[in-house]
Amino acid sequence: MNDSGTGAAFNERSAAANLVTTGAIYCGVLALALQDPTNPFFTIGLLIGGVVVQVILLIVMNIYFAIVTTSEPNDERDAQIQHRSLRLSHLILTLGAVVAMLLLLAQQAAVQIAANHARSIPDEFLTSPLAIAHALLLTLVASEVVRSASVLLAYRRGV
Amino acid sequence: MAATSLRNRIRELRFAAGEMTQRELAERVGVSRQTIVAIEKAKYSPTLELAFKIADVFHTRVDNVFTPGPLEEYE
Repeated sequence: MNDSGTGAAFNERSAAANLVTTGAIYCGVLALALQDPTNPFFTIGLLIGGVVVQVILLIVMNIYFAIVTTSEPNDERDAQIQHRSLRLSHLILTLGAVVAMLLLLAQQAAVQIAANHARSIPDEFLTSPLAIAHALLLTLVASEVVRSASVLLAYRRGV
Repeated sequence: MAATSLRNRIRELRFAAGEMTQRELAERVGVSRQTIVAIEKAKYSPTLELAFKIADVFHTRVDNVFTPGPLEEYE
């Protein structure tokens, strides 16, 4: 038996908290960032603020769950669920990295075509590094959402 | 996800063993109560090691606890 963790009930609640906070904070950060999409300092500030808020929320919620949940050591089922969810999360992360790379290449192609034909760059935001940063952020969020959702589903519907 | 294709007689064997609780069985085989619940409901297929431990608790063979086949046939 793996003695780390505090059991299935805690893992399930922690995954639900992670799912809700990740989704809510990302939506908030995205909505605010789109108000000034080409300002990197504003976006970086929002990202750092979002991460800090999420970390604080998750620490508080996990402490609460640890207090109200009967503590049980993690067993083979918990390990299998964690392993499966991490594998799914890794898949999303890989796909997102490939998409971000393709987006970067498309940006370079668009800038080059515009320069060759003496035209202005099509869209300032879409051809800026901030668009790549947003694509990578979305990838991180999506992989985390998929990981938490698959943990929840596995506990509720079976492995 | 659907139920696993492994039928089991854990519930029946628990009651035959002096109405052993799920928690007691879980403690004896070293897993959480939720895992025993999931195995009984055929929502989780245990590893061979755990299957043998469960059979050992009931002093029987593993194929007397677990048998392959859909849950519906057993019910």
